[in-house]
Amino acid sequence: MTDREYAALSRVILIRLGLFGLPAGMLAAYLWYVGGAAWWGSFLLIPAKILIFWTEIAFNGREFTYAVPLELGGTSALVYQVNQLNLTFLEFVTLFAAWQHSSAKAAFKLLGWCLLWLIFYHVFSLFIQCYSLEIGPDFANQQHIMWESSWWFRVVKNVAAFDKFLLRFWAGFPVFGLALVFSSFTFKAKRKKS
Amino acid sequence: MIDQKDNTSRFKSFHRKYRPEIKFVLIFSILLGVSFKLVYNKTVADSVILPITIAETYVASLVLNSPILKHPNRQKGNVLIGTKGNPFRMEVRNNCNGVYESIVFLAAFIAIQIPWRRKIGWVAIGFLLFHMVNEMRLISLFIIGSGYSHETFVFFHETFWQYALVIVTLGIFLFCAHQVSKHQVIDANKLEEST
Repeated sequence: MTDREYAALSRVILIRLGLFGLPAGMLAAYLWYVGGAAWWGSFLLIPAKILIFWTEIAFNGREFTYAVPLELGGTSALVYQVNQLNLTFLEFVTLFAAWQHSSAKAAFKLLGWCLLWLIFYHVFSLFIQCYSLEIGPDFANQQHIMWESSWWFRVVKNVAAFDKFLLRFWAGFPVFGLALVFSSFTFKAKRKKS
Repeated sequence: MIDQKDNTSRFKSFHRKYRPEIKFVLIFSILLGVSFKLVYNKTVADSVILPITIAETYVASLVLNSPILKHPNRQKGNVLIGTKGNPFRMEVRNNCNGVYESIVFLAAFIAIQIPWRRKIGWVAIGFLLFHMVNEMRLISLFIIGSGYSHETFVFFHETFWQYALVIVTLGIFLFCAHQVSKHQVIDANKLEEST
């Protein structure tokens, strides 16, 4: 892209952010807090159960419970609040609304990719946060299990910390960016075919 | 049918067409990873991030004590303590000081392919604006925490202000990037006219 195109694009997105992005984000926030969070959590439970198949996951309307089997028998539950996913959701809606779509078909395609990446990312976040707790010292202390640090734990802890850093503020942006890249690829491929 | 050759050439043309964007994403991601490691390092957190947090708490305390806002409080390190019958206390933690968000803002500006002499001024303006918004966030959270329910405080703390900061950062970045690229276009036009 040329400087001229960048200057025009940044101006258009800035205007669209105020005109469409912000109102869409407000509406998404309202819907999220009047039951949308519970609905999204219930929906996310299905792919989470498929993708994290070796443990039991349940959702009670506010939080996911991730069952950890104990060595001496029985299970213990780790909790993940669904509201931690709020910002990613709002950001994706805001960016989707602010983006200038070339056609309705392109918009639907982008929406599909956004949702797909959002689901993958949310399931990954749920897994990595719970798993880092499962193999961490706090959980071992609670269960009176001997605990020793390992390189694997350090890797998982760092990935989980980076995920938290993204999740609290920015994760909607990489989700939207990935969707944009994949959408542009598939959209061009289809046009070439015809 | 799309064969392997088509796919390879599509990737190649994508790479050629979006080379600056790919470069931007790579530099941005590396900077983000490095700065993430830095801010989570205990020494950096104690010697750099904490003093910034304390300074921001100090400014918030001054503004809250001013005759305009009339929310008497006492500042102790990174904690704001309500006085004159206000039992509310608010601890400004290391991830509430706007440092993490400003890192993303700076990383985006470093990664953007524009000469430093053009962008440095806008980076400074954006950074200042951004921290002013963060001060507004701290001040408003203390006022909300002092006078409203815990649920209201949680909503403003976890959703409203976080979302607002992200959008403000994006807005400031887009505005500054637009100003910089606009001037570059004007300069290019002038050069064309003169030749």
